[in-house]
Amino acid sequence: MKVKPLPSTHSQELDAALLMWTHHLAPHGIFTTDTELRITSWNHWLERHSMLRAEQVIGQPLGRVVPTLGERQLERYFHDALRGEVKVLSSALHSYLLPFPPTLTESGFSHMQQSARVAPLMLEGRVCGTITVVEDVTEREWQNRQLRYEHERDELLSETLGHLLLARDPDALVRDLFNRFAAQLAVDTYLHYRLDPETERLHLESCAGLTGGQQAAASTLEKGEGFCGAAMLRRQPAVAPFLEKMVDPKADFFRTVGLEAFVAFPLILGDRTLGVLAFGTRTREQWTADELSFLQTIARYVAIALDRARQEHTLRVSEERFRAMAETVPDIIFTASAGGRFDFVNQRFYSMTNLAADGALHFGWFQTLHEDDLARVRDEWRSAVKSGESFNSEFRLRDTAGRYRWFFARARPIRGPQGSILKWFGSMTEVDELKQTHLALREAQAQLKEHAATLEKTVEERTTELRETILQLESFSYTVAHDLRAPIRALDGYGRMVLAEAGNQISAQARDGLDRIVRAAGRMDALTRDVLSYTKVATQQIELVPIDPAPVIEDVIVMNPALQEPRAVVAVVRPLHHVIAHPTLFSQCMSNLLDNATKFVPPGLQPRVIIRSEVVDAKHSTPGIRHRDLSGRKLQLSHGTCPRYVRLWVEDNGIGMDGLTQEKVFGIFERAREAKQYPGTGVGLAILAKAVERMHGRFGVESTLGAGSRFWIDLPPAP
Amino acid sequence: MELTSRHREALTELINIGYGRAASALSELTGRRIILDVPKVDVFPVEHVGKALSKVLRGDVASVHQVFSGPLAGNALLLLDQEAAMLLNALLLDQPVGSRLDAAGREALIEVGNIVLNACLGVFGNLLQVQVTFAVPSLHLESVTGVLGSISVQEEELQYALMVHTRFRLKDSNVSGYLVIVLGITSFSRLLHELDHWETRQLSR
Repeated sequence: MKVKPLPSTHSQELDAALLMWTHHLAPHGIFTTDTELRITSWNHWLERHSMLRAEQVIGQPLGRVVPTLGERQLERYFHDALRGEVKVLSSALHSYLLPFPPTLTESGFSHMQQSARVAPLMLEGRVCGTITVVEDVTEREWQNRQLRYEHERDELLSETLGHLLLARDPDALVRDLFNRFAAQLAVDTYLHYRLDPETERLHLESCAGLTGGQQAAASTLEKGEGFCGAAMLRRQPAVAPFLEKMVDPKADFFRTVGLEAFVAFPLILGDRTLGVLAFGTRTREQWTADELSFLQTIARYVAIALDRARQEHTLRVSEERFRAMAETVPDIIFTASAGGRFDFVNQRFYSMTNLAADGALHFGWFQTLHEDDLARVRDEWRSAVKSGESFNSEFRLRDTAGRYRWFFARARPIRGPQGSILKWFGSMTEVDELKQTHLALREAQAQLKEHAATLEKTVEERTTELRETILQLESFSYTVAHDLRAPIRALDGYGRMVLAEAGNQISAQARDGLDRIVRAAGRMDALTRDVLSYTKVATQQIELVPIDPAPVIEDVIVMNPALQEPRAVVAVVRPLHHVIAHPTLFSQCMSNLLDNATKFVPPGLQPRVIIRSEVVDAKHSTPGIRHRDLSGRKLQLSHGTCPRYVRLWVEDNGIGMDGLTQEKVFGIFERAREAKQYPGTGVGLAILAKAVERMHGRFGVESTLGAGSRFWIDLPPAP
Repeated sequence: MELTSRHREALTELINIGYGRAASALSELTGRRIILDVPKVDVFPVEHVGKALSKVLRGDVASVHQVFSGPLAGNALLLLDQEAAMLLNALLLDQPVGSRLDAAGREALIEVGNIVLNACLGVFGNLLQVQVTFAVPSLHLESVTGVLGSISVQEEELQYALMVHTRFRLKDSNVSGYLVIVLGITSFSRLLHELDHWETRQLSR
């Protein structure tokens, strides 16, 4: 240590000032000794704390003034100092150098806590004694100790919480815990009461620091009895200090067991009351706020742990009950964790499969799955667990005989109050027989379907053949009709010629014969003409265009005097819906319909015909009407290509027809029985039918014998 | 200046004698058996000691620093990293390991450092038959560079550092620290010279 030398003039004054400060003002104890360790100075601070005046100690050996130094082996620090060493005495290792009374009474220290330095006193480079500086660090040490206690309590509390939450038997832990903090807090007694919710009595679960007799006396408390009962009733801690002076009769018992202060905490969690935890001390009359808060925290932790243990117990009981039940059902029952690991599978599974006990747990049950089902079932289970939706699956499990049996499995999640999945609960039901039946049924169905497909194909083939035949027939009849007309015309022509030239020269009988020949030839010609026009309708190439039906009908009427007044009245209810049609075929159809409508009328009655139109739905068909094509087959209505039709109605006041006739009237060469007296070839409606069919339309009739007919044709509507 | 293996061995032995004294004082003080080991002794020019210390001590270090003067003059330091300081403190005071060094803890550490440093320098003084005078020890919590800043006194003379790896063994635990004694070349040469003599004396005995 180097001290900068001061100017000599000031040196003496400064020394005096320093000595003055050291002796009277310094906030430390300072004393010096000579090389024999006899005290040579003793400052005011030391006088005050040692109650020894300087003149009483100066000249005295240090060991006599402070006798404890020797027994505490502190004298050698002074010897070391005499050898030139500077010694440090820390309060942490020595507490104090000089045994003075504590400066802070509440600190609880028996002596003033000190830290000290003992150094050699140098004079001209020689050691001439020792100098010791003593500092009072009681307050600092006390604060440190408080801090350390707080820290230790915090640690104890957090450790306690951890232990309590893990403990199966929190009551045993309360006992253990008590032993750990009892000494630190100077708590001598604890009582742990359990509340019987039915009787509202408190029953002593465990306690410490009481004799057997005292325990027996405190074993049951009626509702509201004693401090513990009061705490329970008010749901508030009951603090009872100064028991000795308390007049409250509740204090009597505790006084008899020698307690000075008592506190009871109700064990409450939310609205659940579990019991009471109480503490007592024999050494102090009251609790500090710190202690109360510490004990209350302990009580709160204990309440949490007790509640948890109770809930766990309830859960365990219900789980055991569930397992017992699960073993009685014939199905496989399982439970799984929220993450999908099986944590329980009943005995049925193991008796059915070859898996060893617990082998199905976690994902072990997958081992028994048929290899074709494994990947699928694993995916299904995984996605159910992930999404939280029910699991439904069918799969095969290998039984003890190595045979695969079909099972239907179903699992659903059990959710907690917050909606999170707690567990999966599921079952597997054997459906092997059902599945086999189902498989057989499916096979039969497949066969049937195949058969039906074959049948349809056959029908298709036959129909095509038939169509070809019809086409051949149609072309044949065209040829026949065409070739027939020439000889018929010849017959007709020559017949008329003979009648004109030789009609007067031949007998009436012969003339009548010729007349018949000519008339028959005329009929024959009309027939062949109609047949030709039918085959033309059936075979010619047509193009369908949008048309307005009204002018076409107008033309038909204008061309035919039989459709005009006074011979007939044909009324068109305008406007008529436009249609997609072939103009010539459409004209032919209307001409034929109007011919019929005005022809088959009772004699003497003026034919009246009404033509109107409406739009009908393709699915709509008038009851009682059969849609047929020429071969007598039911018409195939194609709903897909044409959802709606324009229906043209031709209503007459003619003779009408019965049901049977209505069925046949559209066939070629078919004539109504009632129409025998009317001229005609029986081809008109057949032409109509063929024409409508080729224009992708439909047709039909509604009629009552003697009450007129209502013919209709459906054609696709113009856009 | 290179340390020969003979010098190194002699130095180690000498320090061991000092440490034996310190250990018995510490054991007596704490009431527990404490052993001080010297796994390694090195000598560096003072400029290199920073680098050597940075390799073995991380972060802030607690250093007990004591200046000594007289015929043998220099700086003596006991260095512990924060963790070791805390552990040593807890072991000596029989307390749980804290998170910071409080005033009492710092004082205790000063006392321990003081005992170790004095013991070590005491045997040097005895060997050289000189009186070593000490200043009051102090404790600092700072980086290694900070510690070295406080010892690099502006001396004309070349400075050497004796670096002693020190191990405190107590209660089945080990705490490692470093004792650094910085001496001028003259003091150091004298020390080595006396070491040779001492060895000879030992052999002739």
